[in-house]
Amino acid sequence: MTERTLAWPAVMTGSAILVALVAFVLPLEPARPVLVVPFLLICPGMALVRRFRLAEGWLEFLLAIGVSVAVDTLLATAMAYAGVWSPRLLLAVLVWLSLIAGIEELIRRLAT
Amino acid sequence: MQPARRQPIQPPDWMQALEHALEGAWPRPDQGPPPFGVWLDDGHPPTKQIERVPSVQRVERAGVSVTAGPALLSLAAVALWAVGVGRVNLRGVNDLGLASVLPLPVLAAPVMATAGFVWTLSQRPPRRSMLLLHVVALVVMLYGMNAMVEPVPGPNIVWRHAGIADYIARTGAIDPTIDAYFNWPGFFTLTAFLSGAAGLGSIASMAAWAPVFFNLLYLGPLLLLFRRLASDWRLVWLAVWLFYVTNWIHQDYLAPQALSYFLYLLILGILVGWFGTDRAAVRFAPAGVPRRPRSPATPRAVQSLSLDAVRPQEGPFQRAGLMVIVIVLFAAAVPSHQLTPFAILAGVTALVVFGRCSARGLPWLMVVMLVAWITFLSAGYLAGHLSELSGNVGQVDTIAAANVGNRLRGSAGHQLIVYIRLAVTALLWGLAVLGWLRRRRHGQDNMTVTLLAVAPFPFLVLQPYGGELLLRVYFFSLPFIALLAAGLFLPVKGAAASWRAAGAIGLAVVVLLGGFLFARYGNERIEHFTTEELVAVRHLYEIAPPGSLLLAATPDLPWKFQDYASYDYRTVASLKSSSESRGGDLVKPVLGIMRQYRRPGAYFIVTRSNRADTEARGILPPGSLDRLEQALRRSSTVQLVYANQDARIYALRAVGR
Repeated sequence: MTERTLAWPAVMTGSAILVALVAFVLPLEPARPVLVVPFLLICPGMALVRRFRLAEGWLEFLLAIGVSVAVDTLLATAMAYAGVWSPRLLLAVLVWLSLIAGIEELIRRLAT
Repeated sequence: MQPARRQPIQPPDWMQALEHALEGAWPRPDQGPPPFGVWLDDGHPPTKQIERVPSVQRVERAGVSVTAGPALLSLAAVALWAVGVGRVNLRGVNDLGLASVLPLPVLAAPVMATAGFVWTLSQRPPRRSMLLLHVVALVVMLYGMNAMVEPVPGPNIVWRHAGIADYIARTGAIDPTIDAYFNWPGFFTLTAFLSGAAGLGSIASMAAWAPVFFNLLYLGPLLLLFRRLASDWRLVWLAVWLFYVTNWIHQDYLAPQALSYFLYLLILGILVGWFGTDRAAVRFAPAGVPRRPRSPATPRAVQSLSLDAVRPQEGPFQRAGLMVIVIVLFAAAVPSHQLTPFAILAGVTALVVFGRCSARGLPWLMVVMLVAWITFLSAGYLAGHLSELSGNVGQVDTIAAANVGNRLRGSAGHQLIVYIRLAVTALLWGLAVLGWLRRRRHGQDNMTVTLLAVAPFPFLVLQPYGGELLLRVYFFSLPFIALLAAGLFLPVKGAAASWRAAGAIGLAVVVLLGGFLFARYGNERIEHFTTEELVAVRHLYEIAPPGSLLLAATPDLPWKFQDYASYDYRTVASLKSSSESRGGDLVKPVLGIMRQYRRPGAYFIVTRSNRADTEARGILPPGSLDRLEQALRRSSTVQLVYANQDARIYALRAVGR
């Protein structure tokens, strides 16, 4: 186990908790964009890309950004077409996705 | 069975002379695969070149200055730029654009950064962190100019995009009957979601630094692509540098094409990297150079990657995952932009048809996804615009006129800017052709790069795309053109280049930089907005009831950022055809259309940027806007309801309504 393998799951878990706090619990408006935008541009994709265990960290990061942008776009567009537009709901879904992926990997790594 | 070897094409004498002029003793990297693919198999350069390589110790003796010198140059350049750019007075901009008011330090700063970059590039091994520092500094200086000098973000389209995202955020609906943007709404739903989730308000607040953000975003996919196509890290970074000093076409503002371009680069990067094959490369290997033996443990597709590429190590599970990622990325590109998915399809199809990509079924899947979107979600728009979209297929004259000829008009300054753009394009393409020849001369595999460079060009015979297709084709082919152009300067024989080559790189980049500042910011007089103009537009929204006609002299003003579908937006320029038959008289068509909107109201706005647009690009007959305003002031049906330093608003008089 290396530090790198634990870094991203820890970041995903921690940032998901922080985003959930500032978006749904504490009205910290100045901190909200600073936390939410990077979270949405990295973590949903990282939750998927980490599954593939790519060899290079920077590639993982790059692909995580691409997949995050794609997933955010696809889900937001689908919600708009389906007539259930709700940024808060979509944010909650992505927070849960990142949280579960991060915790699952943390547990798996720590168990091995 | 061994494929037949093709002898390298014999270069013309002038090519040899050029090569001799650029060759020299720039040391090859100590680490990493051999540069630019001449050592195809054994990893050893020719003995003659080894003799010319200076020792590692000599470089190490150079001490801290070798590392710190270039870094300090770039940091000093950024500081100089930041100080200088704060002194820019946009009121003085003429038809030559921002370059006409840039102080000397701002002009010198990118040149200093280039010197630092070339200095770092010449070190052994090149320090990638330093190269990254130089590139980030360059991007900030070249693309952060707008954010630093403009009080209000531009261009006008940014404000329209903010209005579309605002509409979706407020209504949660996508109405494809409003306009074409709502038939490809992916980018706008994304930005509406981001602004809603993050509590940002209007996305216009994100617009100022969008060019810097997007260009930094492109860096990752560019490195992914280039390092798969060329193993010499100096070549990779030089191509990146050339990309940034020639990306003048300004498609990186807050817009669907800017984000889709990131997906375009990433998809091609993944496909070239993990699904690329090099059949042609083996065929074109120069005689006498032994081929690398294939390892039985290495998958065929990975083994057969471009000969000079960095080879990925991922196995079948990772490759399957990467294909899933490619499909997800393309699925996001399809609803986000009209043109980019077709550019992706063209590139992927070219790679597959010429045996450069093992994902043979991928183009078919992409076609199915595109057809599905067009059939089910943008059919209404296409049905209403089919003749417009298909009417110019094959009409090269019409398309050329729309993309080039129609742009060569307006003031003398503006025409000079258009010529500079053409010259910069021709220079870059010329360098790429020479780089292509030089690579070819040394038996290099140009096929994948060439395919991706030329794949967008067939679009030019399909339709004018509003006169922007040549720009878009330039944009899509730019990374690969930049890589070929870089291949001219870094020699293909391993020992990279002499001081002469370094000088040639510096000279070419400085010339391209000069062209960049004029080409990219040549429309600054038209495209920048003042605070007074934005205040006037906000006042217009305050006084105009929903359903009103909002008429502007030209489209160049910061409007449509709110109540996107609640008003009828028109421009005098669009009424021009009806006025031309009256000898350029704009009064009758303007009053005519305003009278049609007595209820709920009609408003006519003229701004400083409208006037600049009219004068520079010659959109309206000279003096016609002044005559129109004089006539409106005398008119009994229209009154001036608002005026500030940079804008005036006229409205139909309440009396008589």
